[in-house]
Amino acid sequence: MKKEKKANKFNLKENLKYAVVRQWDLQLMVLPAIIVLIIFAYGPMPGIIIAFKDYTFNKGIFGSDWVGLKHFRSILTDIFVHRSLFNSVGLSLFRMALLFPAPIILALLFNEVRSSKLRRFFQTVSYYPYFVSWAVVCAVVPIWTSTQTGWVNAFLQTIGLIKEPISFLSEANMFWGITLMLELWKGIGFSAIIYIAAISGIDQEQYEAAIIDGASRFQRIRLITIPSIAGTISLLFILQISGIIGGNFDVSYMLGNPSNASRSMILQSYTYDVGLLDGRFSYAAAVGLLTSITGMILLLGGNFIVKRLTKHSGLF
Amino acid sequence: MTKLSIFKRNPNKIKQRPSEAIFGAAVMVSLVILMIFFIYPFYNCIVLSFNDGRDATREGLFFLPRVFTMDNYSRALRAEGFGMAAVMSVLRTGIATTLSVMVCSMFGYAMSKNHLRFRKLYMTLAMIPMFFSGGMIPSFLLIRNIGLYNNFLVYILPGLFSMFYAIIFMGSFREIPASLEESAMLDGANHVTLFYRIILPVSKPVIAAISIFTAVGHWNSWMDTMLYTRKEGLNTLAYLFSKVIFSAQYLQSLVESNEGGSGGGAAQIAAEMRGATSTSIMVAAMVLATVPITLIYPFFQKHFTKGVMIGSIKG
Repeated sequence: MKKEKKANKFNLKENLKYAVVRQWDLQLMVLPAIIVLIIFAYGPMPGIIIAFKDYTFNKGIFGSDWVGLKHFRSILTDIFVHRSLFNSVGLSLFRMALLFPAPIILALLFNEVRSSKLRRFFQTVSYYPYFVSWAVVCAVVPIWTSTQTGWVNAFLQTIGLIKEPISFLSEANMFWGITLMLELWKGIGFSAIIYIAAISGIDQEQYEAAIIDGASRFQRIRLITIPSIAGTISLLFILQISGIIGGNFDVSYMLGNPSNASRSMILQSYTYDVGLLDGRFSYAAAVGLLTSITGMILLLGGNFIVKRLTKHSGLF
Repeated sequence: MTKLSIFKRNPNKIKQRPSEAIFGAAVMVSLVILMIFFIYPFYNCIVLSFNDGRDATREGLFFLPRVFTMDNYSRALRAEGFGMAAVMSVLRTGIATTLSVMVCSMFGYAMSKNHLRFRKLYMTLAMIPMFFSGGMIPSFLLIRNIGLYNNFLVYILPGLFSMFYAIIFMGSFREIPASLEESAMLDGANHVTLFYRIILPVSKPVIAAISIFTAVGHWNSWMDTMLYTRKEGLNTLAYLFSKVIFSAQYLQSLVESNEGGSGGGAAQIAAEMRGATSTSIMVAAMVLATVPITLIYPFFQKHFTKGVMIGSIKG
């Protein structure tokens, strides 16, 4: 009894003792995850200081000389950083505006299919692209968009959208469109799963009542389905912001080439080029830190927007 | 809603209004178009992979192979490094998925108990990396410093824990009736045995869903191979394809730089010929690499919605 009382106050020693003696089994189950987290998620964090140093392989992370903000000053005048930042942020905004709502719409469309067999078939097909590696997708895009034999140009010419074949991958202005299109194709069906799950949890009686009241299908979507999944939508919006900012290194790196570099280079791919290909670790780490900070700003901004627009409390 | 019921009550028109029918038709038409958009790119690859490589460069191939051949497949299978990379992909996916599902589910189980000491601390510790990470360069330096560079374990260890999956597990374990555990606890079992004997067997849907997500991620991952390995023996299938892209670009730049020279024409033709057949072989290889992961997928599919729903929405 005495022990119980003490444990209520925060007492590290008592808590530790309790954890080891009485909860050894539960604590043991947490342990592997915590070890992995500490090594691989927190382990790299001290390395960020090389952004303020001149890292050399021989002197190591802690032994290298401090140079203060030298690398950040060079970033200010680095035209490639400006470009990458513009592309990263621009693409993120487009992702939030176009790619985020798409799976919601798809899930709503699925929900309107009466036959459950047909609905399952549609769903199955829609998340197939998710199972293909970005490496594979990016390897076939040049084939699909070939000016001579690719189906994309042939299709667009057939429906009369373009007159001459376009060499999509060498047009810088096309790059954002290509990235977003590929991400849409690959991710929409998979992301829709969670909304489909949310919709299937809605109480069916609401719909029955609405039908009796004479609500049209569109009204039922607008007045029942969407409000019922609003919580899921805002939760996912916040959760996905971190992923959205992560950018798409895969596409930018694999489909980026000298002729579309002005639109394809993003902060991550520039970090890779500078750091691991040119070996300028410190400078690349500084660019990386800038990336993280941009990410945090977008995350906080997104959180703020969600708080404002909905009653959802946000993440923090 | 109440307003609606007062003004629009009209039980006679429940069944179908013309506008409803149009709406239904519009939904179907747009879904069918979307389905074509999802399927056709795959179909196009399959057509290409069964067509003679040189013939494929003559004219576009859209619906059926013109010159049917299985040659691309047999050459893809014999291609240098393909077999080894396939073995590496299977090993990596199998080991990493098993271990990672274990780590995440155990964490999720322990965290689903509110009386777990230090629960808040663990939660914070696991949440922060979801939003802030060390970044590419510090991670690279860490991997090199702890001796995982050029080591098979670099495929397994760093990705063992995912907070996103742990949250799904947590929510799903919370749904399990407490009575199920209590009877076992009375028999004096500890949480570890309880977890493996009782909790896991009743949680098959969520385990299936998380397993397939993890497996797909590992099977398709190519970046860690590029960042952290240099040994050919560690190449995975996905990485081989990412490399193909760059060698194709290299070939293209060779052609372009040769165009002015005297031997330019010949070099171009040679490169195009090589590019042509190797393109078809590559497509065949990609079909082969994509098939295994798509084969297990219908098997798990029925668990998808169920598994995800239980966890994420209520978690």
